[in-house]
Amino acid sequence: MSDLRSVLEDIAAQAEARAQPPALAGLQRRRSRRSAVRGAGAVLTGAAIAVLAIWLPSQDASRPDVVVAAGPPTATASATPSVESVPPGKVAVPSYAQGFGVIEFAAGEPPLADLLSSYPTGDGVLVTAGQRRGEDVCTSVFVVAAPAAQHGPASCNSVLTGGAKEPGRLALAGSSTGPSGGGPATSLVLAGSAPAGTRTVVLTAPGDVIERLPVVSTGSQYADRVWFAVPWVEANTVVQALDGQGRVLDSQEFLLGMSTGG
Amino acid sequence: MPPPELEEFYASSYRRLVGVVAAAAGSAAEAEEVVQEAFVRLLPRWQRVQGFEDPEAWVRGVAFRLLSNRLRKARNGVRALLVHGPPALEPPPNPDRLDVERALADLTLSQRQVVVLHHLVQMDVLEIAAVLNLPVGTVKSRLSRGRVALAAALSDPEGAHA
Repeated sequence: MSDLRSVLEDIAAQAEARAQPPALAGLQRRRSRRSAVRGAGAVLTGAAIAVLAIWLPSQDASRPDVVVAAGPPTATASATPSVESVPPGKVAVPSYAQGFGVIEFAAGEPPLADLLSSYPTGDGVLVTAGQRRGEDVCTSVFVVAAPAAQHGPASCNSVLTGGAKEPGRLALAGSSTGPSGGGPATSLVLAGSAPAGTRTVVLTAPGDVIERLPVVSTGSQYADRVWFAVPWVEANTVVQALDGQGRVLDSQEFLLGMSTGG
Repeated sequence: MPPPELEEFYASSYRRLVGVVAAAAGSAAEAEEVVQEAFVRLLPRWQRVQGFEDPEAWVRGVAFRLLSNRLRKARNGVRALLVHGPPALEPPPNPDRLDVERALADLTLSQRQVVVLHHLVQMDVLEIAAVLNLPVGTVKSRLSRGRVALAAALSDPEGAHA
């Protein structure tokens, strides 16, 4: 088994060489955030489910108005995206502890999205942000994962602009002003919801196609929507949804959410 | 702010821990996740753990147990893999070690854990049992089966991976 040991040492050495330790203070923030939300989480979740049980069935279930990208507090490039289904008329408490997800809301009051923008999960807290139809994200969904005393509703660590401002295209212009600290957010978790007929979601930097994404046709609670999720997106990326003929879809029907992590 | 001794311990041990866990996890990214989580759990216990003979062993033990726990949460990962395909590829391995790596990858995670702790970290069965909260017999069984599987795969790599 001497060969085995040398191979194991080799594997370990490669991983060791590539490992990038985040600041310890960042890990400490993760813990503080988790502790804070664990306390408030049960109350929030119970209240959220109760409110939604009454509220959701009365809404137009044909399409959502808010999409939230959910990710763990410390999003990493290597994290695997996942899309969770939320049954129509119900909002379970999804467990996104290991991945990213999409949560869709029908038209409603911002406080509802605010309330739901943070869930306690098995391993941590979601830091979420989203976009209401035609509005910038900070107007509707807030980062509530951190203690309110430190990072209240006015604190938003993700800004998503575009939408109606640029028909057919949504430009991600991330900025980080909240718990993540100041400065541009260069790495974002992106998730979205697009109308039925969308076949591809294309991400481009200025002039260059970065990535073509398949959409997920079965995830959305809305029959005429499709989902997609991207674990790692650079700021200032342009996102377009194309139908089967390659035509660009109206961005008014194309919702995006993103999270910068904690 | 974390105390300077903890910062120093973190800086000196993080990469080494990721390396060991990666050998068991089969994924450097997975290893970084669990090692970071292990350090998160260390933070409130640092005053106590720093007095231990080997604080790094404590963190490594937590990381290995977290790795086991993640098995239970693999459902989402499998689903995402089916939907989105595999994550970004890591650099290709050295061809000379490919057979061993494949054989390792064919082991169950629980077998890989004991194989790595025994052959890489050089812990004995009793130590592994303590770290993983397992009966000694279970550790022996996993180690034995892991070795048998590795030996079989390496003696007939084509048959094992055709």
